[in-house]
Amino acid sequence: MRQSKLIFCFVLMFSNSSIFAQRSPELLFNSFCATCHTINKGKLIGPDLVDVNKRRSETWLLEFITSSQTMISKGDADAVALFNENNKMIMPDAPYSTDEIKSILGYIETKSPDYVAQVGEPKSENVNTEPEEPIRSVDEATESEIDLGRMLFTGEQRLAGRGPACMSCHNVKNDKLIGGGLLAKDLTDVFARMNEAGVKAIVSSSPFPAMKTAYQNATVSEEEVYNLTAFLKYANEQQYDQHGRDYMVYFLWAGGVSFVILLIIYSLMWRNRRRESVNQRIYDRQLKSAPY
Amino acid sequence: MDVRSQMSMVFHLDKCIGCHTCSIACKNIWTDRKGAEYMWWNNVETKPGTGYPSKWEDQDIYKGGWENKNGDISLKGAGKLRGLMNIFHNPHLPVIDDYYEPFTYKYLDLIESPARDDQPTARPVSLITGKPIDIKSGPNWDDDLSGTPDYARKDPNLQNLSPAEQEAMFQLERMAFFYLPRICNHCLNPACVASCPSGAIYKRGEDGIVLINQEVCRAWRMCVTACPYKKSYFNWSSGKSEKCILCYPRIEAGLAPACMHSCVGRIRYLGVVLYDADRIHEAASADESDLVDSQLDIIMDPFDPEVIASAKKNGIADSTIKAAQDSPTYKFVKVWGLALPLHPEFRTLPMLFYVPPLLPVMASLKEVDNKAQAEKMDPMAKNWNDSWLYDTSTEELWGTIERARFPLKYLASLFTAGDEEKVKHVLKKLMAVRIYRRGKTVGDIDEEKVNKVMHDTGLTPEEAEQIYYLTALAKFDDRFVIPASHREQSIEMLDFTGDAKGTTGFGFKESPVRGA
Repeated sequence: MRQSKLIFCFVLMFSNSSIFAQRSPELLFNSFCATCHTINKGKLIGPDLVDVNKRRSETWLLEFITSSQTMISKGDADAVALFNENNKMIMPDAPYSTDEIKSILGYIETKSPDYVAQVGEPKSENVNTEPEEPIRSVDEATESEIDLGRMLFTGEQRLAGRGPACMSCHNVKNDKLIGGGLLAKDLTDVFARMNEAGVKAIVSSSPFPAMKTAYQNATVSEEEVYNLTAFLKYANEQQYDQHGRDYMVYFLWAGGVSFVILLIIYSLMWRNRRRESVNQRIYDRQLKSAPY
Repeated sequence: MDVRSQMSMVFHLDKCIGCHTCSIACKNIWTDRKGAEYMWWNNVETKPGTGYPSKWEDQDIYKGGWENKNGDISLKGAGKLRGLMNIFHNPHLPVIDDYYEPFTYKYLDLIESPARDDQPTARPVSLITGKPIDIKSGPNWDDDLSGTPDYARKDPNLQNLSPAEQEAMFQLERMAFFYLPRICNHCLNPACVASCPSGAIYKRGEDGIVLINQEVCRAWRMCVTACPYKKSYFNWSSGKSEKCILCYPRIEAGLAPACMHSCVGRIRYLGVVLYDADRIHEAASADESDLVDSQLDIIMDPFDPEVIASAKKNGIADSTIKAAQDSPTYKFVKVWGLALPLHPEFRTLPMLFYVPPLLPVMASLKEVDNKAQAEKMDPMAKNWNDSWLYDTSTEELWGTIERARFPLKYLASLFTAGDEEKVKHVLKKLMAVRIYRRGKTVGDIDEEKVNKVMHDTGLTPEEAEQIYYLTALAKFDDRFVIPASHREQSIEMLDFTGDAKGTTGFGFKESPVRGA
């Protein structure tokens, strides 16, 4: 029994190592890039990547994918133009090695129409061949779904995967909410910026490092994604009717005023406190050596 | 009736010579540590004097003890509501200058200083900051009335005396003082226990010793405020409060506490008293004039079969009941009525009793013609040409007590919450014993006078002999009657002693556990 367990462990060890030794480009693409980009399926958040290797040189692509912001801050004209074209959405740095990025670029090339015409559809590793269900648009969301989305956003309703509530880091200007976190981007008009598919993609698997880490062990179910997206759409539509409040200055004032009030209370409460030691006058007299 | 046992003390103030041996014995054993240098669990004060910490008796300053409001008692400065309001800033705490800043001297400078024109000196340095300081005070700075205008005249007990009476006390010729040694009173109604927000202080069930659990103490320092005797001290180094533990490790081994063991004047007595715990609240809430009586009232007769039965029901061992019957404390306090509690008006029911001092009261000053005496003296002898006599004679019965140069009002303020009659009664008894013994040994007092004295105070010759014996002749085992503490029984409640038998000195630092 023990032997067979050991053998099983060994097998598992080697099989795992062989899996992780080389991750397939399709897997790499799907787990990071696909959140914002498609290949030949239209613009999502970022541009469609079909034939991208024909549009840009490989060195430029490598540099941009590794760290787009470095390039932009350096002032690369193409990069800046691209950035502005896409609503100044920051593309997160790819957590991949140069070889892996090259393999992804190779994978994108195989999906280009020209290539497909020549070689035929590449064999997909994706075993799931079930026909995709028609996706329900958030336009059809009911009021209760929007409300559920709001509750998920604020944390009143805990995410089923036990991930943190969105409000911990994000703010949405809405009367039904108290101000949210300022750690990450304000999501009031995110629906307008990214459209439905983009928002859904980011909520279900975020490419942003901080968010990725936060939801590392917590998946957001499809239903929750739908509700949250519906709420964000609603927030976007309603944003001009809201009486958004900046609590910062009020808080500062409230702090100052209550500090003064506390000081007054304390000075009243302890007005009879001992202010000096019983012997203080004796010490003063002795130290001054004044005549008694 | 809920009879419990209490280790109770009597200090005979007539015998105290103010040598501070008790304080040093205590310091050497318990408080010679960082953060505890300023603590004197046992200290000796000169009275009149401000004491240690300064003016500790003045509860307008320190808000210690209990106060009686409409027949019910509540803590004066550290009760539930007030304690909570002041929990982060306790405004009545004594500061270090109320005690004194502990210091040492840089003795090494005397040795290591390079050769110079002047002698090296050892500068005083603070034991708190480590920096050189000017020594401004000490734990017995006003000893023997030194610095009198600064200290003795500020004694809170003088408040009840008229200015003329106060002035009279400090006339050079009339000046008198006595010593007041103090330790924790291990009260029956301890304010420190009542005030502790953490519940760290407790009164031991078996002998009534009040202890602070160092692991539970959270440094709120409410006990420091609450104890009217200021016998709970805050250790600034460990962040815990500490107090006199009545040397319970010594008591459990059958030894007298260090302060009592070392007492040069043999003024200290230790013994068990049995008291009725059901009546503590009632006794502490009594009217100020009844306080002493009501406190003594709940101390039960250890010979009464009913009391013994109730004590046994509470698990008090036969050896403890026997010790209560032999207890010198019980004799001084209850049988003879010679000992009184210190400041009963604080309502903590202190279990340390004092036999008030007779000496500063007894003598009077007379104007006499000293010529005959002067002529008898050797010509070499220094002869003061004065006409005063320090008269300790007993010519006039009670006269010296009635016209004492030391106002009874002062003693009453210390021991009976202002009742002069009670103090006078005790002093008369003490004096009666003296007159009785003088009649017996010197023989210059006739029998009729002795009998009158005894009759006046209600003492029998046997009682007078017993008082004389326990005051003047008592041996170690008479002064300290300490019952076996039966630790083995309390250990057996938790462990089987067979497991530990004969294993002392053997074993592992961390005991091995099978199967781990």
